Amino acid sequence: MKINSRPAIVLSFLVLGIGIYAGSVWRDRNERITGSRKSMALVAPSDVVARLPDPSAPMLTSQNNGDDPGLAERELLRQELTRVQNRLDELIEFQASLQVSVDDVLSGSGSDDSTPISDYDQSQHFEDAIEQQQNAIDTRLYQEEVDQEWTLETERALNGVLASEALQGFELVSSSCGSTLCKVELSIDPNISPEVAMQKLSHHRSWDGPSFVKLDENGLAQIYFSREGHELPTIDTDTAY
Amino acid sequence: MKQSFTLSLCSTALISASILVGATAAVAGDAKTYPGSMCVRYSGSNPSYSGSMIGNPSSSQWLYLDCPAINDSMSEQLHNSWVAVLDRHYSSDVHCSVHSRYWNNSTAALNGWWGGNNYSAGSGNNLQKLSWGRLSGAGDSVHTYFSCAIPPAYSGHVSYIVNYHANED
Repeated sequence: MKINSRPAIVLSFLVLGIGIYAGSVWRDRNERITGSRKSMALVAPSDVVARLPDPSAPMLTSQNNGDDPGLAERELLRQELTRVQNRLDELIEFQASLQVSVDDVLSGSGSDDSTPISDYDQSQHFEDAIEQQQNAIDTRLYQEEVDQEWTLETERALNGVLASEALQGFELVSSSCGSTLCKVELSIDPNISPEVAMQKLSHHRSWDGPSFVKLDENGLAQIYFSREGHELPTIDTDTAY
Repeated sequence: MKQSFTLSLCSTALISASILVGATAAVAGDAKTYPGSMCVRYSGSNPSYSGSMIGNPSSSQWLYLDCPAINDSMSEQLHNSWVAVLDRHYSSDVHCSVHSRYWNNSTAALNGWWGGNNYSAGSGNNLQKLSWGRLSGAGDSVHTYFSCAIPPAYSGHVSYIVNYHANED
């Protein structure tokens, strides 16, 4: 089973990255504050209170602390806290940009290397797979030996329903059966739309096995069906993502 | 300090694991059961409804239905499906098949994949499941439905489509 959990995987790695970054910031901050606290332990509380700087005074650098080591320590601490605040602001910005990237991935509008396949490419891929499936069925049919009894019985039943009122406007062009597969080509009255034709065929078909049908705009129907108890050759028609 | 770092790392890993498990669970559980009343008559008699089942009350006409299924797994084919029916006609059977349809622009054609016709057996009040395996056709332009026929009511006993199930896992 193909699991489309790319957004979840991207999100989990982003969360992990944020957590590691936040953890390192937290660690750095703790180290600096703890270190500052160790220095502050050498200063008596009365000294700190007595020497609180005037808030309106100009900022002192560590070189200008003069005779007041406590003031220098506080200034150093303030500057460190400012730096930590700046780093936290950076983290918040980083987180916001990551959220934008996650939103882009989830909406499929991201401009990274994993650009989603266009609708046209998906349809083309699927239609190529359908053509391959039809070729595979034709190949199997060509390789099968003919079961005469089953072929006669199948064609008799087919002619019976084509003659019924329910399938008026449907005419047999050709039929070919092997031992587990049959291919039938019908010409359909152009006044019958493809969707109505397919509905009628599916409902009044003379066979019970699984089928693959192709109705083109010219009124030609190609129908492949397998014998009861047998499966049609299939290929992976899952669209690529 | 180290404890704070370790704690943040563990909690982040736990959150990441939870997200992954949740996403996987959401993708793995893409199977749905629909009530029979979602089926739409396209031919035949007029239906009746009972407890969100759809039935054929006509004593003479068959009822032909299309029962839509939601294709929301754009990259997966239908892996298995079933229709649950109540067959109360003594000789005629409820029968259904599963279909996928695709309008093919490359070949200007309508493509269809039909599962085999499955028929109910006997008659009575026992629920019967008509089932299918894998069906080709995947992608956001493919739609899937079940096509069913319900026989007329027999001596007033009505046959029903009870519900139906499609699994894209």
